Amino acid sequence: MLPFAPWLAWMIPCLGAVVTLALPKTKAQWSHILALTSLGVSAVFSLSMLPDVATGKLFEWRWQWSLFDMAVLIDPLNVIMASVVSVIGFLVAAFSVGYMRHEPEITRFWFLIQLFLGGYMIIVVSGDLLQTFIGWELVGATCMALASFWYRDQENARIGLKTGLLLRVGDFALLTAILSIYVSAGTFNLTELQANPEWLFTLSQSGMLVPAMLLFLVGILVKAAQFPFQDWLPDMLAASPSCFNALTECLAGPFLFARVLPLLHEGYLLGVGELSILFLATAWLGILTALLSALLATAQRNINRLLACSVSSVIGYMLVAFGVAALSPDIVPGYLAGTFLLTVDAFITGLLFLSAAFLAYVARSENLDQMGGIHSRLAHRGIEVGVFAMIGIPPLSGFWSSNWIQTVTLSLAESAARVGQTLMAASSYLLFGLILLTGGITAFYGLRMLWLLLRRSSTRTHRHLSVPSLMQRSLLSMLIITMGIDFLIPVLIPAFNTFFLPLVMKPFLVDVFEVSIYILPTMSTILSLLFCGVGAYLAYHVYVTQRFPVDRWMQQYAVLQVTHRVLFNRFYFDTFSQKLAERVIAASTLLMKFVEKGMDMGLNTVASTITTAAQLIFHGFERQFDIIAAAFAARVVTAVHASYHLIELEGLSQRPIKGFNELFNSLTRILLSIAQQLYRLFEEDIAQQLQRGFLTSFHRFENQLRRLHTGLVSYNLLMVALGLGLLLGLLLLFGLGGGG
Amino acid sequence: MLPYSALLAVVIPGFVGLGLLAFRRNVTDRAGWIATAATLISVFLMLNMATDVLDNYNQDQSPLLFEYSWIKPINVSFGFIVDVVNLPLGLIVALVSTLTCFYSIQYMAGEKDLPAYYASLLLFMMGMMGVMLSNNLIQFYLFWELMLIPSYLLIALWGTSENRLRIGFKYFIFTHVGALSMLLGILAIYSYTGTFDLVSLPQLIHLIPPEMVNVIFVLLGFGFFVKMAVFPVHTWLPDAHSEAPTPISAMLSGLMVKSGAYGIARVLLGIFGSTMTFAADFLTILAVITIAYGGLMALAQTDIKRLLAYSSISQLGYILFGLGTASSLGVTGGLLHMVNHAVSKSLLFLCAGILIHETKTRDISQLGGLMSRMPVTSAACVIGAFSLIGIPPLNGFWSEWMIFGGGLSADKIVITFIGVASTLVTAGYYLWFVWRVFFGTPSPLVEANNVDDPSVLQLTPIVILATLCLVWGLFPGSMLIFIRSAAELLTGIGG
Repeated sequence: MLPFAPWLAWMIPCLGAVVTLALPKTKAQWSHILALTSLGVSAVFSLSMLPDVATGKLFEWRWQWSLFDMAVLIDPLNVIMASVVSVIGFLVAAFSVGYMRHEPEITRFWFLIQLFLGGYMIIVVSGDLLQTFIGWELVGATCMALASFWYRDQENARIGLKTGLLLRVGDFALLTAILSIYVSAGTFNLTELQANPEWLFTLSQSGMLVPAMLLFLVGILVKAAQFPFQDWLPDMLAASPSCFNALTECLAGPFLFARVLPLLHEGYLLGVGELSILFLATAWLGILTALLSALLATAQRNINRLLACSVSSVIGYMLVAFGVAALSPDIVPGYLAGTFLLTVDAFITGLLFLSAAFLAYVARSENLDQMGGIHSRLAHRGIEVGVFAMIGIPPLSGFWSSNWIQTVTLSLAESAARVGQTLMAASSYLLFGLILLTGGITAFYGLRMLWLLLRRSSTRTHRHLSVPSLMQRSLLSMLIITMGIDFLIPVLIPAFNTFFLPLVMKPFLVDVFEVSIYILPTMSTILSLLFCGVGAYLAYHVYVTQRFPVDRWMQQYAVLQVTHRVLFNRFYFDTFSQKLAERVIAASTLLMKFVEKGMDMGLNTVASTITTAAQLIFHGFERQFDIIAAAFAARVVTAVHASYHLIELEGLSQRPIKGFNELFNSLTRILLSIAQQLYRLFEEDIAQQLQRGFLTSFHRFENQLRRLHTGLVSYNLLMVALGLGLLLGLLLLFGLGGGG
Repeated sequence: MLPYSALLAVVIPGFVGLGLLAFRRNVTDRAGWIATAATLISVFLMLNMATDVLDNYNQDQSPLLFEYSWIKPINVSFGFIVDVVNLPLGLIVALVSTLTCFYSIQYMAGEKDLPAYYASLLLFMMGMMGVMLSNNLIQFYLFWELMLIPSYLLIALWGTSENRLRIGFKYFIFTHVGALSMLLGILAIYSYTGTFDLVSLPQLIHLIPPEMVNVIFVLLGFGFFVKMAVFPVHTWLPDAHSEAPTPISAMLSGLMVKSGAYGIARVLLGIFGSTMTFAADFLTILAVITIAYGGLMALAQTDIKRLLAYSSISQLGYILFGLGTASSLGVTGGLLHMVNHAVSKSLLFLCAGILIHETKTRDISQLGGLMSRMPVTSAACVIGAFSLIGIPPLNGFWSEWMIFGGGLSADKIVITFIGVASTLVTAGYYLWFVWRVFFGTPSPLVEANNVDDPSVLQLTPIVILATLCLVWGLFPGSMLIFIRSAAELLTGIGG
């Protein structure tokens, strides 16, 4: 192993991505070289770990990073996946240099690709769930950005958004599951989780195990583009630059499942029975996706959409293998079948996507109908090898791996039947039947694609090929590697199984003879070849001899037409999600109109009510004050008059003093007249004027004040009233009760 | 550490602000630069306390205390406390204020009465710093009110629409009522314990009769909730934050609302920890409603600033959720999210300011395809949005998983699941926002206005903030070294 290989394998692409941004935009050459170097070096580092694992040196390497433990795990699964991903990554990068050579924004492309590979490498070397999740999110975010790489196109922008949102659903589900594990185990570290399976029991006791594990499964299903979350992949692959599609990020899903499966299975054996729900769900959703995606693939016209459906379908097989393996008494055969398919399929799918991108580059179209009739031996061999491997033509890998999975399923059925679990047995037989059926459909759509691409076209003129040599060379390397793998399968399976021995701890199919015995002379092999033959026969007559006039049938039978339309539109998932999003937005707009505005309006109503009430009170009070004051003044005046008459005029005139009386009378009269003069002058004119003046100025002042303060006072009063009410309520609730 | 660090960090911006007002005729154009310098001093003063705070905590969990005698008869001193809880928050307040102040230099150029604007900004910042660092409750309240007045003026005088007076008034009344409720709570605490001191209160809390503890808890909680704009009392926030001039929106949304969250952490959790544990169910439910409601409202907006304002409500729901779980992990997440949201949201508001400035519109439906026109702003804005969605390796990711991990570890399983599900709404409105504004073909309005990245003066703050999002995401430990201890400290006292 090269020094720090498991760390540098993912750090170098990430660093490369950052450095790419710093390169001058005019020098596209530099960013090509940088990306190729960083991905190449990463591949070398990844490959350098293979000998260590082969010699049995497995270990975990931890590193304290900014208060968090990071861990990489060097074990067969991680190392083999890291090698596969980084090698394909390097080839794809080399291919892209040619493919994207006229792209003006190549810097952004390289930034995203390197970040993507960095994230992918984080997932595949990580020994820590949180770290896995970080890689997972990086891959998701870069996928989203790559789907909108040509963001000026409205449709591509929309697909990016859709991809991002759908992936978020899975990410949140996965995050919740990981957090549940963390909370009950106190660690994210896979080795610690493996060493101490107590956490499964803790989770199981709190009743969280099944929800958490189903959320985990949802996380996997979304990333792996499985039913019912499969819809992002076809659109995303059709929108993003085709050269990138060969990096099937979906494989991260089954990889993570394979990573965690041994932990879960150990818990299952120790007695956490609920986990069987998870395994059954995995197997069934897997086969459902395999079948439905294969059906969808038969109707697609865009080659990237078609291949996307085939990716979903193959991953469905892997999940079936894992689910069945975990339910079986012995996990090893199924587990190895799944991981083997995972490893090999990365190359087959990569080869198919690269060949398709190559043809699309020449044809300048991704439509199957327009891509036929191009003479490129290289791309045609690529398509042939890929398709034959995929549909299970005997010496190639698909034949071995699909039969392996079928055998595992059958043996589960048999063992379940033996111990009397009829339901499990029936379920497994049904699974087996559906796998066979899927195999037939796969043969049909695989050959359809093959024959549509390889046919001799009379309508199109023969194109002059001017493909950059780097594209040709990287496709050739991919072809050679994949052919090497495919034709050496019987030898590779034992090698693979021996390689995985330290992980599974149990030898299984460790030489060629055993492999042949295990797979060749079984019922499953015969049946699957039969189904494959039927599929091939149909495809042959529809697309080569055209003895089955499908177009006419479609016009005659509406059912066929409808089915085709539904399949072509991928069950209208896209429309459904679009409508769902629109509904949510419409609902929240309604919520805003009624609840949010209502809350505001309610508050305003309260405030204005209080303002009106205050005005009423003030007006009323003021009028009363006027009346009272006037009445009071009148009383005073009457009293003064009365007392004057009583005392001055009548009381004094009764006095019996002669002479003095007259004098007094005259004096009084004078005084009276003066007083009356004064009264008229003072009381009626000045005082009343004063009073009137005072009243008017008071009114004016008050109006000013009211105008200024209406809002303020009412708001304050509202708030004070609210506060008092609140306080009173609280005091009543707590204060009084406790006080006594 | 320099002597009087905390005191100077709080009062220097205030005095410089008053100075700007006094010499308003002499400083005219230089006011922005002087104000930025003053805020920058605060940043350095906060930074220079960092190592001492950590050393002190590691020795015996004691905070740095700066006390000066004040009102002797009732045993109130004027002083500041700096510990692992509020150092990161004080630092972020100073930092974001500095950046918005710097951003204002160009953004506000040409507006009326700039010295008064910067003076208000500095006093506003002083209020926030004071709230974050005060060592006693009465001083906490005074700074709380000090924060209110300049921010009211900023909205009412430099606001963006005709409604600014009415909206400023609404903001004033709402927060003021909250503050009064809080004041009642503070006075009630004093009447039982005879002290306002935050350091000695946790030991004296047994003096309060248990029934009154609940009353006080509710009174204080109401005050903090209004400031944090928790669901039923949130209606002031969208108005205020969208009407304020954009740099001030960044401060209101990024910083000021955090003072409510800080109050919850420091007072409710630090002093009334056991009541908090009882109230946890209630708080987390309220938080989830706030998250979902704010998110749905944001989804319905067509105005950039209102979208961001509603998003703040939703994000404060996250913070409340983390603090409300009263578990160590959740509180860590909540405190960390206070810092992260401050950075990301002010980044988004500053970007929105640039968008509005360049395109002359706030209507999202009229924007589109800006990625090719203003790459730097777009990239920064995308980083801010991704950070709040919680995509690693950006900073928001760390706080979000901790918040919900905290919910699970406090055995609030159902509510946490609902909370996690409602974060999808966050992803929904942010992604939709980003895609509508930056992707696709440039809209006619964008074409017509000949939109371009602004000058370096305006780009610098957003680039710094975007870098912080990334750096704190790559090195989460740089903040967690304080915040993890802070969560231990707070939940330790409470437990």
